[in-house]
Amino acid sequence: MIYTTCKYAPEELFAGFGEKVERLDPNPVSFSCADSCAHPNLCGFAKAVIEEVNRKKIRCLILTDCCDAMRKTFDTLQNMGLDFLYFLPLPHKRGEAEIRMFARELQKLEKAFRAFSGKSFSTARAEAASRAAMRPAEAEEDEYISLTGAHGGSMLREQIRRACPELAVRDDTCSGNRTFSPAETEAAAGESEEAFFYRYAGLLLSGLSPCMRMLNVREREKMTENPGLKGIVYHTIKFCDYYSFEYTGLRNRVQVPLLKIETDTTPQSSGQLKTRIEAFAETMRALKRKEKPGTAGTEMKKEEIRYAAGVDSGSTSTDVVILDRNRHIVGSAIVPTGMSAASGAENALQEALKAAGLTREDLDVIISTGYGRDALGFPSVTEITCHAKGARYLFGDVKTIIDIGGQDSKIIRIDDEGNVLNFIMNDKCAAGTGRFLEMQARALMISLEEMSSRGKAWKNEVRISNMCTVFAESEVVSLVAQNTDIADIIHGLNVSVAEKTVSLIRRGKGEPAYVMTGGVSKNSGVVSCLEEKLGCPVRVSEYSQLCGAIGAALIGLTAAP
Amino acid sequence: MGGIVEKFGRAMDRLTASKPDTAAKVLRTAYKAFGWKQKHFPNKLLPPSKQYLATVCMDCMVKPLSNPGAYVLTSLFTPCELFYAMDLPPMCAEQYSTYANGAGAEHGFIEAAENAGIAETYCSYHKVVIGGVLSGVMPRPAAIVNTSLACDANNLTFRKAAEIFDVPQFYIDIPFRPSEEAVDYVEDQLREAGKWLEKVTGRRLSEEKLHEAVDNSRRTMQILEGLLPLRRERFVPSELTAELYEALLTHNALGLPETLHYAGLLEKDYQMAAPAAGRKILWLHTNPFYQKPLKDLFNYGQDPRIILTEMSYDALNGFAETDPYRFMAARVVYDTYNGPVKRRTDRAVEMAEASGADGAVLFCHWGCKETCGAAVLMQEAFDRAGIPLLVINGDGVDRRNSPDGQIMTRMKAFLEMLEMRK
Repeated sequence: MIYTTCKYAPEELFAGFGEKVERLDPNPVSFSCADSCAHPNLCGFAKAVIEEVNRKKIRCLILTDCCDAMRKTFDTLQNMGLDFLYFLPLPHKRGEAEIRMFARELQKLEKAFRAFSGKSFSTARAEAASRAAMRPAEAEEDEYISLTGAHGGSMLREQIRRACPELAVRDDTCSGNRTFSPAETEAAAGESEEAFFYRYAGLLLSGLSPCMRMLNVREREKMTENPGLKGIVYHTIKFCDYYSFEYTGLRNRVQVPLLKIETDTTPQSSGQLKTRIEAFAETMRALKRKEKPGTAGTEMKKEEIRYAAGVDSGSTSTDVVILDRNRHIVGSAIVPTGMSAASGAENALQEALKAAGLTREDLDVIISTGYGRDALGFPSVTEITCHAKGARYLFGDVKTIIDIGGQDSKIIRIDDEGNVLNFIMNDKCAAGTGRFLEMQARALMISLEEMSSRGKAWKNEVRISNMCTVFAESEVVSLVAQNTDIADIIHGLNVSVAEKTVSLIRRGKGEPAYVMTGGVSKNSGVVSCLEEKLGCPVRVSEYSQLCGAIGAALIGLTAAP
Repeated sequence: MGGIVEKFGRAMDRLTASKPDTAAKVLRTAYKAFGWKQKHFPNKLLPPSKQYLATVCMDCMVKPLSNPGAYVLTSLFTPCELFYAMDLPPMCAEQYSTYANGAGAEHGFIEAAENAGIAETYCSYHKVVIGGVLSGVMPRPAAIVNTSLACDANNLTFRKAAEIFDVPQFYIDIPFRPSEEAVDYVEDQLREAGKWLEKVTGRRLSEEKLHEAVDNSRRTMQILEGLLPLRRERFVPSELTAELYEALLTHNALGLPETLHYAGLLEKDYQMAAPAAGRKILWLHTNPFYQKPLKDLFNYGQDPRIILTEMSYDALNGFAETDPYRFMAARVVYDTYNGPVKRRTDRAVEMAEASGADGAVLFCHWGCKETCGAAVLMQEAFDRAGIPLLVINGDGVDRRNSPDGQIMTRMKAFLEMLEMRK
């Protein structure tokens, strides 16, 4: 078996040897092997390839010169004793000179593999394999979601399929969709091996939809013009340079819902990923309902519902809100989640029912949200959709929600009906979240409440340059050692959180009116720094912690989650 | 950061976000003023060669900034003799970022880039350039010419800049595998680039000037190569910034008569220098020249001292080529940053041995996959050669990614270790 990693790998060349080829699709649980032989800042896919080679005891691997990370993977794997490890140079341009040069490289590879395997190469077999990989001309496209950007593999494709079973998923990532556009040149009778390789090099360089490392990537824009395209999940990998660049242009160009996610190829954070993909699916469905009113599957008419409860099961607290049919809050509760999401929810529900003077039988519908939403046995909706509805309920004119919780921060843009237009979240980093402030408060040996108020008395500007939570903590300790005023340090920290948040807002194309929710909304120092950076007010509601639960209850009232 | 630089940087951050035209003017004026100071009140702690070096580099920065629409934006590894033969000043992207940091102004550019969605993990040299382009502070060039060497960022930054500026771009693809076939291919591209530049700028490429520039480059490189044995024994004061200046001069400023003049001055300084003791460090890749504790450690003194920066000695190739295009092509194709990492690790060990380095420091610049990816293999190569190597993570431009504490603990421990070995 010959393993490859990239769509430009010449799979048909190996078919010419009668060899089977498999493109690697690794999702390692850890990078224990890669971290021992490569720098941690290598991209997740490169590290995953190293792990997979080690785990599967791969003997034959073809790497292509697609990026810095693959070049370094090749360098690293050279020490791992594979039987046949080959690095195929790949031009960035696709002109005549490049095709000629690439053809020579393919011939060198053919010669090297012939010498290694002792097998003979047949152009007829390679030609047949190339024809089999041709894209059918003008294929009728069903409605689909495009998974694009950096390699996502089966793990992401499956997650999207599960969240959105009504649509097909097309893999347009750098390792997917390996079909050639119909060839303009046919094999001439009695074609020499050299002529075959020239034609095949042209097919590989020009017949595949270009990945971002190619110089001319205009053809990629066609991917977003397909009428069947209903949404895009854009995947980037930490420390992969190529795809954030395309995303910056794409987000301004496409009309369909667009979700950006970042992974390191491991199954870690799958809960967070699931929330995002499900919220994305909900956004697409909401848009579809808007386009085709009356298509929502209502199980119960609105007037039949007396009370609806929303349960927001978070990692720290579980919040419940009960609304009557006129959308009035009749009861609410905030209780610690404790060891189990289910018991936390039960306690919160009982407390809210008690506050409302109701019994469980009075509740016609219960909707759950939050990280623990799927563990409660109620119909569930992601907290992103619920926050949008809840914020709209609390502030009629809100357009952008800034939600900074303990573990993540999000920007949610909403329309006039509280539907999510798009959202963006920070990725696997505590910087700019409640946890960042918590750690710094600990370093300063003050409470979060004190932190909120003391920063306002700042006099001298102090810049906290490290956004990494751990490094910022040591910077804070150094500032304390230099007798810097605590108020100035706190203000510096507030500014750094505000800057990080504003960057997220800009990326999410946020616009006023802004509303802030989540635990950090209680920190008035951060809120005023945000207002200064944004140049407009940021409103905070006393009910902000209940925002998700309110949204869930509102969705319950419409009975169309 | 010094008080004045810090205040200037903050003012620049505000101007970058609100008045980019003013920010551009202020930055240019500040560079000019500093250049004037370097010429008339040079740093007395440095020898004549290094004083002169600072003024040449500042000129290389000020010229393109003073000629909006009439300069070429380029990458560090692009042979620039072509531009000098057309009287088109080049502006090296990495130099732009380094100078932005020197003025304390990198933060506003980085913020502009990150706000536009550029990944935080992207190389900060390139992030500053993208920020400069996006914010409107960097003046529009006449054209962009860059190579694919030495990293992916070259494939992205310049394409994006060309798109935003709406200027033509010429891309010189450097094949991964150094060979004469690759030199042929790059030579053809360089010839094509010359003709293309004539067409898009309306300027004439003087073959005579090209020969002169190439001759300057060849002579500069020969002098620098000849200095290796002297670097081993003698002490010529330097500083972290001067090490970066020299790396610039041995790339984009190669071909200028001023660069050749600098090489001559440096040769004289070494010839006149006294023999020196002290721990000698070979520095691999770029350095965080702004980091005060590191400056305190390495600037001007002889124990410890940086005797050689890898980036000034990576391109000493192609001397034998007589055709100017082939000479430039061979230099870049056989650059030690091209091809499998073994070329770079072998050359680094060779440099350490030739210069008598007691130890080497590999600076893994944030977001640089080429260097981070080489770290483990570099360590193995130095272990085999019996020369201590310290790998440190930091950032050549973005202060946020270069924590003083972590870097200094490692550096001091390493130097203590070298002391014990003596």
